[in-house]
Amino acid sequence: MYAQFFGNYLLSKHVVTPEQLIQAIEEQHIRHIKLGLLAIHAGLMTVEQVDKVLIRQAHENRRFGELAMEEGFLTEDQLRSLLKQQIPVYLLIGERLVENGVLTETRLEELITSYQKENHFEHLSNADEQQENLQALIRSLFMITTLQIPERMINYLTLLFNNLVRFIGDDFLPLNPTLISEHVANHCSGQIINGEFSLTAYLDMEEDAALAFASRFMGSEILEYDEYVDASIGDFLNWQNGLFNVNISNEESIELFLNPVVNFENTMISSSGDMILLPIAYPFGTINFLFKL
Amino acid sequence: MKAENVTVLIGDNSVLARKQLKDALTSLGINHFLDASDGQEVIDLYRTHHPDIVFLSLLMPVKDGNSTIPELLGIDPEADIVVVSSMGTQSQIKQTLQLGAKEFIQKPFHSQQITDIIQARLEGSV
Repeated sequence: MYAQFFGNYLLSKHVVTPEQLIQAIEEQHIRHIKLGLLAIHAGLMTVEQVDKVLIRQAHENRRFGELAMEEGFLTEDQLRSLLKQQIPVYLLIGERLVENGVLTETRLEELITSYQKENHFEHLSNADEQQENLQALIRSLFMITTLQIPERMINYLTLLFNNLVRFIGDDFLPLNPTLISEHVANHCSGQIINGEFSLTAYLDMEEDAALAFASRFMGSEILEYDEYVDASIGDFLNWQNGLFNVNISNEESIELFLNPVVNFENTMISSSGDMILLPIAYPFGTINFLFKL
Repeated sequence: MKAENVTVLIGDNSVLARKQLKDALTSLGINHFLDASDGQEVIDLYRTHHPDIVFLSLLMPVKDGNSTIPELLGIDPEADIVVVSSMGTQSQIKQTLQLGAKEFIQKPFHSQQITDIIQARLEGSV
């Protein structure tokens, strides 16, 4: 769960550059996933066991699964389920980084296990713990900016990541947030939240990404840019902000006020203070969230 | 009331939200629709067409939903107004219902909610 943050983990460890990560995200559809990596991810084999099988494989011309079964590391049922499981996005991206020569296979295996261990993924038993875990991941995501992120903003982002999973898909990776004073928007929606906590949120993306985003949001493929594409970007933002308002009103008895969503194109967004730019990479392109606190 | 005789006015500034509502209503046999993208358009269309049901968003430019409700009731005290909004906080729901809306649906809505609302009206229980 929340393996989406693995990319950010790699960035924070300085083992990949943002460019290498984005290239890997864009190429993740090229699938050459190694069975050993899947077995580690599923907790069925250790790094040492995978290495042992790989060494044998280098000397004997036999399949990985066959050798792992012979060693007693995998049962036939486990092998069968590994072969037909859906591959998590971070493993696909990890494999692309190996194929692109950014990481070695062994280094990737080590990073996956240390990521799982540091974030205690294996012990998460209920939804509340998972949400707390997500909040911790968001805090570490923002450590790279010097800005102190208010607690309500962490709640906002927790909801945002859950809504992305719910309405667009879980195959995304948040990239490092940055502080900026201006941003040139392509296809953008913006909405202002006023009250005890005020926030202006924008969602911006390029045309190709917008078509794919809208197709997923609407649940039907859109081939040409039309008003429904703009409306999809705007409605996603409005749902996010509306649900945030409902949560904050239920939990803290605070009533915030929402303004109607505004859609615009090819416009410069600027601010006298800092704005936070949070890019989120999907296989179809990057979507940019922009926040003015 | 029969579904094919029902006229629905949808007031929402999102063309997609209007389409999704229309899709849900069409599947229930309703096929007469009026579209409005702000509160003033809703009022103007209501005055000329007297629709059976109004689905109304709250966040709209020009005139928002809460300002639109009393004006609709001024034209027709029996106006059947269903609010569909992303802003479903307790106080907002209360305010909207006190103004005279009959129902409040939180966005994103489930089509079952729309079905329930329409069926109750077709059966004459509302």
